[in-house]
Amino acid sequence: MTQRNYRQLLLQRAQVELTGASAAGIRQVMYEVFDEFFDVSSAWLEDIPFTTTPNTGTYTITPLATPPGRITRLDSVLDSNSIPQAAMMPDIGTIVLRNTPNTAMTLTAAVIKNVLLPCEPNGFVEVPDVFIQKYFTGLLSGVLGKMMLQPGKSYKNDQGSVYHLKKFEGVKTAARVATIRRNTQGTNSWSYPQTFRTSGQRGGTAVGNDQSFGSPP
Amino acid sequence: MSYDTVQDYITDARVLLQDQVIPYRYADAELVVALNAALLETRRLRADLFIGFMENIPQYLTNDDTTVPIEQPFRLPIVYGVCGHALMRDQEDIQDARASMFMKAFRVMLTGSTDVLNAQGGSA
Repeated sequence: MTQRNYRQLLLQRAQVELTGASAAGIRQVMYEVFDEFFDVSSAWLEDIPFTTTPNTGTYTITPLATPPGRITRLDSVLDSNSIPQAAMMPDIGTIVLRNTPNTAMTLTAAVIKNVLLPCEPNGFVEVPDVFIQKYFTGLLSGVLGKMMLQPGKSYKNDQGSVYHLKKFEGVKTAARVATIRRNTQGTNSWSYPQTFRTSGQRGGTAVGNDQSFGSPP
Repeated sequence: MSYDTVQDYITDARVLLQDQVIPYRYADAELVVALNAALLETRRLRADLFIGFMENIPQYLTNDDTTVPIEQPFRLPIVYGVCGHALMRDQEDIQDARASMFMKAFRVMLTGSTDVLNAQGGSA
């Protein structure tokens, strides 16, 4: 099933529940639902490799063109040995490394993405298939809940809206947790082995580490 | 009848208005105006049907095969809107009742609620 068909399926399921709803109206709400879903869950991650050059600490990265999306946050920067590198993204798409490299190497920036506002008047929001498949019922609830809030419509339903938005809230949280745990069951939040740490908390004072720009120990 | 063009709307409206014999009681131009009025009212009640041309609501001058860009499930109420608007010019009890009926059907089918009529002071 193509991407468009998954979104079409979501649209059609919503139309079954929402008597009198227009496809255009549902498509608009689908954007809002996906935007909120990805913003809260940070589930849409994309690895973007880039090559460093000696004595340069700032790099520009560009996300994949398909499906189109916008970068919202930086998740991590890893080197070729999967060791985290301290970095930040003061401007969207610009990676600033804390330690300016003195050799050329390939780093991978994992960025969190979100959907783009459809440019075409009746355009579908572009989103990876995997999220519709995995969170179909929750996303459907998001669409239904938001549609049912609209005043002056045949499908306005306050009770139904509360029910569906609550369900959507749960799915956003579940997706967020699944992302943090990298889709594992019964494990702690994702972390690198502590032997990789290059800073500590000696003296009982919380200090910065390579994941942040805190004060060096 | 798929209600794709201006002509489709006007042709079916004539059936409902029992105005299929030339010379027509309602001229083409009058029914085209009624279609334009129905579209304006539809835009007010259901803005979501006009996403992409919110500020440029389709309006027509002649009864021809120009496409009317409305989602299929919402085309029948527009026919009722055309009929209601056309019948409102008459001053006869039966026509008044039919005009009210068509306008009510038009609004209820678009909004699904008679509350909208009361809130807007429309005839029920």
